[in-house]
Amino acid sequence: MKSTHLADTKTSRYLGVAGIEEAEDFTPLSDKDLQTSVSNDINTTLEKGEMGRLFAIVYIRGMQYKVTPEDIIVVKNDFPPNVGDKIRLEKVMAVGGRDFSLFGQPLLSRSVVKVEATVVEKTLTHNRVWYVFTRKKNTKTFHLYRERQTMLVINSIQVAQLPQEEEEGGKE
Amino acid sequence: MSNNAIPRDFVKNVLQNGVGRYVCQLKRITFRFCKSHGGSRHMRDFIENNLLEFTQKNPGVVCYLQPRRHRPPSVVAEFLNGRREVMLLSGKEVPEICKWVEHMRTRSGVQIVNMIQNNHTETPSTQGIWHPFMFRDSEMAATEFPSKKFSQIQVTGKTATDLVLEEQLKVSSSESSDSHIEGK
Repeated sequence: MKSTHLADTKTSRYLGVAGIEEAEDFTPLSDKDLQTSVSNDINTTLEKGEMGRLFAIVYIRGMQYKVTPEDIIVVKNDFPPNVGDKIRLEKVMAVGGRDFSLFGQPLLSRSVVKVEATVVEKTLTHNRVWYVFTRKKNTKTFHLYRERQTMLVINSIQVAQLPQEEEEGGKE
Repeated sequence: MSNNAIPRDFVKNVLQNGVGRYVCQLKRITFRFCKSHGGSRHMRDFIENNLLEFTQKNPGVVCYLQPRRHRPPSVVAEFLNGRREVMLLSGKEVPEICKWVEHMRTRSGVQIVNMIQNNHTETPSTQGIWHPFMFRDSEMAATEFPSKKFSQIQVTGKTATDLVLEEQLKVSSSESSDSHIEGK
């Protein structure tokens, strides 16, 4: 019996794809004509307004959040913006629509994506318990502490037309 | 204490605040203090020095002063969603009172409970939620079982049998070449 050897078996199993390199979706865009055609396709979808509901992955204070407009996210600990401030989330790692996704390496350019948010609330968490107990040493500590939290509401995600010359890395 | 006893909830955005414009959710704030007692000293200082600035900065919040004889100082905050919160401020100095008042101003009025998630979305997926058959061949759905094709074992990489067979091939080929040399 002849055995078949599929490349990158483990990854493809996780993704539910038998033979990840054989699938058309994952062809790397080394060909320049292919690159331009993909960016053209994305531009036409953006022009026609067929991109559907856009989503983005933003990076705030060491955390990555997947957001769409009207989402609410919580930023932990110290965060300078005050209530009612409108801010632009500049570190955007990825953005996508119904049938396209753009990934930055690691971030997308400011001129391509614009994610805006409003600070809605600044509160404290409920009381959290920090309890340490050491056996046979007659030591135990009991602390209650509250952390600061900031709630952000995502107002809009906008994608500009892609530049034709240099592609940031995209797939359709 | 069991974990179920601690109230938990998801993140909420009251009345979709901030989607259009931001509205301060603090409706009314009452400062309750005693005019003569020493316990309300810092509260009286706060009212004298800091309250006017607070009211000027926040014209949308109604401020009340309520003197009560021989009672500890406290602050009552009422929010747009109808909730009312009382905070005792006895023994708190002026900067700390300022901080708690600011805390009340920046809140949305929702009760503070343990948070289950750090985000909330009404549309969890744009490109479709992943399921086990997402990138699979749809031929499987149309075939009748048992089928010979799908009953085969999916072998990935070389099995032990393959390795042994390869070794055997190598040995046999080398033997034949040796015999060939000898024959010459």
